[in-house]
Amino acid sequence: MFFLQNVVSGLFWGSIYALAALGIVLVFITSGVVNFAHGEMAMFSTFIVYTLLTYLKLPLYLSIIISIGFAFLFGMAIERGLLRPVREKTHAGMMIITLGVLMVLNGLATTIWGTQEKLFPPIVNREPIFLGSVVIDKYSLFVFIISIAIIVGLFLFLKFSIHGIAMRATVQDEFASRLMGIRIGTVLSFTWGFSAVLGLLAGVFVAPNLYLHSNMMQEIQIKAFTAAVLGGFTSIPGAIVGGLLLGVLENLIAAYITTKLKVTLSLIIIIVILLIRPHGLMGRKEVKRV
Amino acid sequence: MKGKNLVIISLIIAILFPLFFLNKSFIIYLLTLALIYAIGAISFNLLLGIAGQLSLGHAAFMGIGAYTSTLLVMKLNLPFLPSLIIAGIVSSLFGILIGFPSLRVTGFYLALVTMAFGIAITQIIGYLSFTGGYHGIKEIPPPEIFGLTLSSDLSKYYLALIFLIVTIILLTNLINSKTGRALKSLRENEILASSLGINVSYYKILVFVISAFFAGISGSLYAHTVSYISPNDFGLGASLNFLAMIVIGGLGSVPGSILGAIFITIVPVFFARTSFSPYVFNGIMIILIMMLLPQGLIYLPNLFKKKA
Repeated sequence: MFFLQNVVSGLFWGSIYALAALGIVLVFITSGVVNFAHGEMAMFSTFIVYTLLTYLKLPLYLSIIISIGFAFLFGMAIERGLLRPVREKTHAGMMIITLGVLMVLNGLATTIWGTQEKLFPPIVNREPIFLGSVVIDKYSLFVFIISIAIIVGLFLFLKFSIHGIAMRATVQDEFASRLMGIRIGTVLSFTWGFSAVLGLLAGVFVAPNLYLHSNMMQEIQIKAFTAAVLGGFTSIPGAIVGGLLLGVLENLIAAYITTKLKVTLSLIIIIVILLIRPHGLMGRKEVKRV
Repeated sequence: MKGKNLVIISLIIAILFPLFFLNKSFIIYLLTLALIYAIGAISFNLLLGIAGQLSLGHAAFMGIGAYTSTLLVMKLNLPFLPSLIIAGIVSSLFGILIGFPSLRVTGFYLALVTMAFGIAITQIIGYLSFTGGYHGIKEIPPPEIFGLTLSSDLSKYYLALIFLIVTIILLTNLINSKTGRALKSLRENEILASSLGINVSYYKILVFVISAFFAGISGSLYAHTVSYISPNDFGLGASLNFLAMIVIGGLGSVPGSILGAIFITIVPVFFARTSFSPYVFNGIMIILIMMLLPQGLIYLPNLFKKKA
């Protein structure tokens, strides 16, 4: 029972890792950039929710909806303003720019909101629910269901909608897609906006458990990377499976061994996966051309 | 000939400069820190600028060096110089450990591994008890060489300067040697390099070992100069500051690394009285340099020359 209980609470964290990983993978497969600022963008937008909530006294749901709009535009602006200009020139340069964005956002957050940890309300209350002998609180269940719903929704969107098909076409062949009349630029900024929204949701879901502060997403981001590496970095189902797997694994290790070395576990997983199976559980093997 | 003059002039400035601030120990202390960071920055530039391996855990190597040297001096009563060398060696052993994944993967995967490594190291140091946990280690003794205790700020400055000069000479020669050219070929195209008979695995591990060694040395100097270390001094933030140093100074350039290290160490002083975080400034500089002047600030004079 103890085992099952830990698996269930691992799924809660796993769904958050999956959401964050999904944002990273989505951006990577469309624009080829690993967004190191993903976590800090999420942290910053979550602080926007907090500000609307505490200073303007708006209701939580409204604050989240406004912030979703903010996160979307924010993601688009970063892609259009900072990354597009160097896209044709250097690839490593784009990665370094996202690291610069990471620093700016982290510094801005401590400048504006200070270094103190802040309480953040959960979207639904934490009433316990009994499923046989396993206890889940209502909030964790809610987060899990919402995350799965978002992921399924995204999957359907990519599979069937015209924009989703345009996005997948861009992934496959940018040049040919452009010839087919797809606006690559729009697809790119759209993807970045979308990814930022996924990050925001991960931030809003995790903030009640971790307290809101400027380094909140640092560990989540490492775990999202781990989840993405587990899944292969190029596969959307891979990111989800990787996230859930990592959440459960981490919770079991915390329960039976120690709670303090979670990032070390992630490091070990990343290294082992990269050494044994670099394309992850579900990714495609990469073929290089000179 | 002109380059040689420039080197001699900067050397004279570096020797004489602190003498003007004899009664302002804070300025000398800050300059010493800049020199120590410059050693780390040059070694990082060898890794990223020359060999093209993006690591986000360089400060962790510095931390390993700092902790090794401190523990050897304080717990085992070893003299300073042997501790410093052992610190470099232990750090380079970790370099091998992190170099291995880089054989299988390139580009951003390496950045991920090293980023996780950097954060994991701070967690492990914080978790262990003999390292003093998250509180760190206080009252580290100043460096002692041949019975001479270097407790004054000025003597620490000159010690750091000597180590920096040795580092510059060794690494500049390395970069201009056959090994240096092999490392540059890794940066340009690995597959092409291996088809020209360059042993890619050997050189990748080698560059990690050398770079980690010098980072460890700079960590040891840091610990004995500041006399207080804690895991947070060597976390992700510190590694990103290293990145800022060499991107701002100039990727692949030794003088650029020094310029960047001085820049990043001195700038926070101007923000000390405001609540503004210097991190923001560093981040903005990285973005602007990457977009407008990818060769770094060291390239700035050349820009004016071309126009003239």
